[in-house]
Amino acid sequence: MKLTINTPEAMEAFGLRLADNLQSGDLVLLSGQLGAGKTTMTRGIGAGLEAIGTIQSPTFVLARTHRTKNGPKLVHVDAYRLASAMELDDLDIDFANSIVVVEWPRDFLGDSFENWLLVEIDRSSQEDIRELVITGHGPRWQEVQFDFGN
Amino acid sequence: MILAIDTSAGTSAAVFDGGNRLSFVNFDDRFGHAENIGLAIQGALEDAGIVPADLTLVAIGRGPAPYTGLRVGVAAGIAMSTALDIPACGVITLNAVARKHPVGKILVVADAKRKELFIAGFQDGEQVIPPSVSTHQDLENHHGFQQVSGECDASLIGEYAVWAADQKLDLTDTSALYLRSPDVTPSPGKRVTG
Amino acid sequence: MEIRELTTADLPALMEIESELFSSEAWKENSFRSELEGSFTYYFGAFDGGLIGYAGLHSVPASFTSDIQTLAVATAHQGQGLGRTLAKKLIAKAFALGSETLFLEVRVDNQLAINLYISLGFEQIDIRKNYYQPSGTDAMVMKLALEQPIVLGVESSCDETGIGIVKGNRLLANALHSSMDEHAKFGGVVPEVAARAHLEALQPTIAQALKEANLRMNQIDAIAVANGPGLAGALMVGIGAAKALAIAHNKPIYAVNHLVGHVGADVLENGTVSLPTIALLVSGGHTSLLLVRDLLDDVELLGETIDDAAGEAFDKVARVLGLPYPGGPQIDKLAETGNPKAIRFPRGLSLPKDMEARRFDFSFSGLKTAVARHVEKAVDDELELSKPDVAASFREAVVDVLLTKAINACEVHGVKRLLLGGGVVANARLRQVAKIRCDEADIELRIPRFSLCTDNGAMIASIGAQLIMAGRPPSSLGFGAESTLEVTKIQTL
Repeated sequence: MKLTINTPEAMEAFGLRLADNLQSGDLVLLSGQLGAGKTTMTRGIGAGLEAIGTIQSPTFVLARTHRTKNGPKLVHVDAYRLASAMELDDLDIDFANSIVVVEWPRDFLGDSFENWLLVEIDRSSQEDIRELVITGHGPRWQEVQFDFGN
Repeated sequence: MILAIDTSAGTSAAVFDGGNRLSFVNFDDRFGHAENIGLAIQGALEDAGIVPADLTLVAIGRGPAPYTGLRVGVAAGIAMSTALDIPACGVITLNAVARKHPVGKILVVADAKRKELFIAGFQDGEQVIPPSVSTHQDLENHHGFQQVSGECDASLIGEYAVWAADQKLDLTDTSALYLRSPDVTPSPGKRVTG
Repeated sequence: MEIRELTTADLPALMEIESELFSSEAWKENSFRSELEGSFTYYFGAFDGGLIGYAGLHSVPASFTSDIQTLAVATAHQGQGLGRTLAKKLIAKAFALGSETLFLEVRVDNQLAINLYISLGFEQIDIRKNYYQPSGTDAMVMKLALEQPIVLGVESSCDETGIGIVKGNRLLANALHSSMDEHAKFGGVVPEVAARAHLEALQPTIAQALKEANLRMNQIDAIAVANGPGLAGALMVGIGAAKALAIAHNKPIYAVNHLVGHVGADVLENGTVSLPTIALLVSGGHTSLLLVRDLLDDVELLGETIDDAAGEAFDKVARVLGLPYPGGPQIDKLAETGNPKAIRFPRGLSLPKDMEARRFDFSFSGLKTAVARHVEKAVDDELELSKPDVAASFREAVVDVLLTKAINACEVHGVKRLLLGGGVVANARLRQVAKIRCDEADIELRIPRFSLCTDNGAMIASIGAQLIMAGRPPSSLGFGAESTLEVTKIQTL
């Protein structure tokens, strides 16, 4: 599905609503240029999941693991500098028991996973406006209907 | 007196006095290596009724294994050996498991994630296929081998270290074994099992 | 009966006892007042109904010494062990402050007091003739040696393996192995490389630290390790090593917060850290503004980055400009020939609407995007692009927003001290502007030496030492790595 987001606040709000649809074992891929709003969206997801600790860019640390108040861990990953799937493996992320959000997803992820939700963010138009394209891959996302309101 | 440490699967530590295992503490959790490593080592020492000063060797499980957890055991082993000023030796998990099957054609197989496997092949104790990464399909190419689970722990590591010392094998390499990296392949020339 | 710190409000009661006990040799009220108001002086009073005794200490951090200024018990309450209680309070305080020697003068004819001090471990070192006036009584000078804890600290939160050793507030060794060069090949910190380098560096770095401190492992009193925040995989290596070091010689272990460690670094620079202070910590992995009232019990996070750390922003902008990793030094070099005023890039979270909820938070994402757009537009429109100007203007924007918020924090909280920490302190422009702005605002600026600013083991050891000196219990052996450890959690038990 496609969506237009007009402000950073709306991007965060989108993340918040998206969180309602997430459960343990889910993998969300956020694709978009520098400054597209990937971390902003993740902040919203974190708020929706009641994650503990500030959502910050994981570029430097590659992965940040947040406990959540009542649910599975939120693992926030930046795959930009991962050269291969094995380096993702080396992070030893507990995928089965976490909700994993990956910024800068890479092609090699396709080989390692069966299900994922891809959110592509385009910032090529004016200022704050972002165009979102959301696609689910795999049986997990087959039946899911999203309701993002505005 | 040997302290064996392994974090290739769960987190475990064991104490051996010559060939006798005095203690074995194992935490099965595949994720809590940093949490459990201190408790495992301390528990093994206490159960064996010894103090660290009694140790003469640290045997470290080198993997191959999921890297993050494996590193914890290797770090602890290196630190222990440095602090006590005693030698450390490195044991490849697949070899340690193979030790328990000294007869026949054995293929030791461990999960390498990403639908791949770590394997090593032995014939009557002699290594014939060096530690490497394989797919499930490629396994079928190894005819006549009996497959054995490569899951390891500190008890197996310790047993191997005791045997290896007897055999005067060179186990001075204690680096974590990461088979997928191009520059890390154990030298096939070394005699690793007897 | 309770013992608490004295304030000037207690002066009348103090003077009453002072004149009763010491008559012609009593201190004047003004002397007490300046003592109570002074820095580095600590006065305690014993209360039971009213004030019944008091004792005062003066410390000189730079020389790792303290002096007992006075100790008095009201006549009606003497002979009940109160003198001993007050003396022990002073000894504990001197110890907590990092003093290695505690001095005092006592009248040679005050046998009771002399016996008390001897029983507490003091020994005579000198006699000062005619010390007490107007009686002309001699003074006996006594000293007590305080054995400060020797702590080995392990730091592996990121791409550096640091092993440091301290004795109380004294720096004994700071050994660092940086895997920086290897990372340059990979365009940034890669956990696998970081952790692998940690393993290889572990033994030589420990050995180097012990050699520098001229100590053997069994002379270390305790181990401290940073268990967060940072790269989980790297932290785990440090934790595994630290726990083994502790077990090897049956020593206690302290799991401490890496960010608070950066404040602890300043203690090693001067023998003390003046509190309260605002601390601005800026590195590749962190950008945080702290209000530190008490290093062990009261560290407040005023604000932090809500997206990229400042160091990260440098790396990303360097990427946009086609420069290699690490971005900081590269941008600095390019900026040398650039005009910082050429382009006005946005200062994140500085708008009026941000002053409410996000006054002390940082955001470099908008700045990063603005730089990227500026470069893209120039390329698209085939305009001339001055990379030095972009670099200089970007750097200026970062430095501006960092220091504006930091100094604003000082003003809003009435704290006239600013401490800088973290690897980005290497940036000369940041230091330069910090000095200018702090001078203008009459704020005391503290920047520890560079080797203590970047991630290092000595700062971790320092926090461990503070905990021991304050009598805190060690951590249990079961703690793990926490990549997002909150700054308010200084020690993980």
